[in-house]
Amino acid sequence: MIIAYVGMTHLGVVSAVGSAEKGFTIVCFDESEQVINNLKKCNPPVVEPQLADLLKKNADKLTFTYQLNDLQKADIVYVAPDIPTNELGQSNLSPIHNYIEHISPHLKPDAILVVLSQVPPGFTEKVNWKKENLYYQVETLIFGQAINRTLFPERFIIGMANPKSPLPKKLLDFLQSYDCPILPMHFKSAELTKIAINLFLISTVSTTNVIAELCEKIKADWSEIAPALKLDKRIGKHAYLSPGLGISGGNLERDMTTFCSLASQHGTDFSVIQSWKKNSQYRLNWVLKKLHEEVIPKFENPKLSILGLAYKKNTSSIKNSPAVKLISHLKDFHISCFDPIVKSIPEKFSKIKFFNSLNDTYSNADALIIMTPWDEFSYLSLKDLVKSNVKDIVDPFGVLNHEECALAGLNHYQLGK
Amino acid sequence: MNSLNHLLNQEKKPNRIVILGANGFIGKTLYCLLKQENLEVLPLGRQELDLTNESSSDKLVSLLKETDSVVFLSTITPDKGNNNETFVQNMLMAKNVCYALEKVKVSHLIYLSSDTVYPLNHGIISETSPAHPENLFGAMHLSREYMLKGLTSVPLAILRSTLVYGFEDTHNSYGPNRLRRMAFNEGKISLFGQGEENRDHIFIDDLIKIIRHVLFHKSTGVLNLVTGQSISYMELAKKIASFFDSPIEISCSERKNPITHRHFDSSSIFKAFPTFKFTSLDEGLKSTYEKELNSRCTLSCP
Repeated sequence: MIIAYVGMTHLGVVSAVGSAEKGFTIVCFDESEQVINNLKKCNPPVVEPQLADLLKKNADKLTFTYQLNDLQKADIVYVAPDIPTNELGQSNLSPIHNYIEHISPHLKPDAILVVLSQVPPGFTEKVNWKKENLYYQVETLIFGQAINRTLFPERFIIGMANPKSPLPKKLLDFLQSYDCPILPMHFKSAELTKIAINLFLISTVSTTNVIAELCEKIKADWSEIAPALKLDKRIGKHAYLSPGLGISGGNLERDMTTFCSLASQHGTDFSVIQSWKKNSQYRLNWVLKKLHEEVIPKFENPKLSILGLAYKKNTSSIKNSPAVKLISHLKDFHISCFDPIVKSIPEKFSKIKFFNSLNDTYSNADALIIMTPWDEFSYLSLKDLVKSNVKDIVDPFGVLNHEECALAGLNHYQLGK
Repeated sequence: MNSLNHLLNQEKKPNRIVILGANGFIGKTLYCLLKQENLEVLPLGRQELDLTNESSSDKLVSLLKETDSVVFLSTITPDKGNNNETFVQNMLMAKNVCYALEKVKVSHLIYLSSDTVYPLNHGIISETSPAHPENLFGAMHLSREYMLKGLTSVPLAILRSTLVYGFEDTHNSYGPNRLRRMAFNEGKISLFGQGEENRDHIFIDDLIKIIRHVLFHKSTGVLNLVTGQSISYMELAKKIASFFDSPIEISCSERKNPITHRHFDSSSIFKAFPTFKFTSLDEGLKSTYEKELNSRCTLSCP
């Protein structure tokens, strides 16, 4: 059985490599010759833990191509380009429309076509392909954990025209190889399930953030509260209970926008989701406000050092990155930046300097701001920091230990404390 | 128009600044600051131009130039009455200003609105919070905002100010000025209830500096003039009392109205003007205390 993945962006590459690791023969198609040539050299277009290693390990099972004819041999074709969003979180569906239009004439007539990209409810059923061979599969990619998620999915959620009819044997064999529950349902239910998963996640994150803020005001400690919540079965040990700087990354914002748009169109209540959006924008300003309250007034011309630019650790993505937004609001100050992977940002500011070494970044700084919780930042030496000019550390995610910083005489500001 | 945008990224001196309401507490302070920078300013107070008079609109037309930046401060404040009559008078002033600005499309318009356009007890308020006034004064400001937004060819900045304090303030509304004067005059500060209510107070010098930045950047949109640091009246009274050598009694009273709070998110100010620094409440209160002390000393020591 040959499986093809179309669109070698984050979702497509990770899913294809994961399937190869499972032992399947994979055709990877992208319209970009450059992307394909890089993949042939084992240079994936995105950064994910284990991705490059698994790419090399499974090279014999992976065929990379920009030739449409190579798709003719595929039994199952996953259409998996990332769906770009604009600043409002609105999806641009034209890339996936184009892909489907271009590849359809080159597929085997009985090929199973599976839409894997994140599409709004109602998209898949309109795809021009034989309904009994057309499916939608919910993707569960998490930036920074994508390989792990694709190798060990919690379940497969499959949208189809008639959920009472059995899945085709080839698709079933493929899915069963992952040894997880398979949930067939109608197209729209599956498409909405994807949004539902993310909305529940956002509700947890938003609730965490509003309580964490009150903790900061009344001197309670969120890190003491969270473990108690995780022992509540209705909340659960895997619940997302870490305070953050709002919602970022692009995908969750997209789902809120899609839901509000559908609710508006169909006349259902979406005020709670608007509140999450507002709270997200509000929490995004936490670092900026903390700097203006606690750091900037102390200095005539403060020198600020920012560690981390990616929107979360283990990824190179800066889409809606809190660090990049913060920089745009601090552009009149001298800023030194370091990120293990991201070495530049699209906007250019004259007073911002990028460093290749962590220690060099803060050597002349008055304050340190840790915007992405990369693991390597947790190894920062407090002894070295104490010897430097840094007296204030704005560390929203608590990469450094709050109590140890206080003992070392450093002012440490963390969400929820 | 819920956030501030700069039409000029780099600061540039306005050609001429026309202040409507130049004899008020804020108008006078703004005039002084702008004159210190040798800017051309046309101050218009009620004596020069009574905006409640129908004829004022034509007079204003004759005074304005298209290259002017206009700062519209004129308001009958609640201490002079917060009733139907003052509401109508305030609306009449706005109507006359709008008439003139329809005739003379000035370069920039700044309208000083009020935080009373927002409801009380709304958690934390930002420029994106829904405006929902709870009294006539707030409804008046919001109505004026809508009238001015109708002047589509004039770049408009709406600045919604929280409670302003400063030595020269004459309004004596319940806040730092009244509490300080009570301490000076009576040796005690009387609070409503236990002084539990939280409010944000902006120092006049800070408010004026922000208006100046908005003028120089020719900014448009809405900005709340707030510090983001709310404090209870009890804490405020204690801070003021601490400046006096002799003990100041802080007296509480039976509460007749429900407790209300106001908290603001000030991040839009830091985004609009990244290097702007607020005067801390302690510094601002001390400064006004010392000015009042010197003033009283001068009066009593011929």
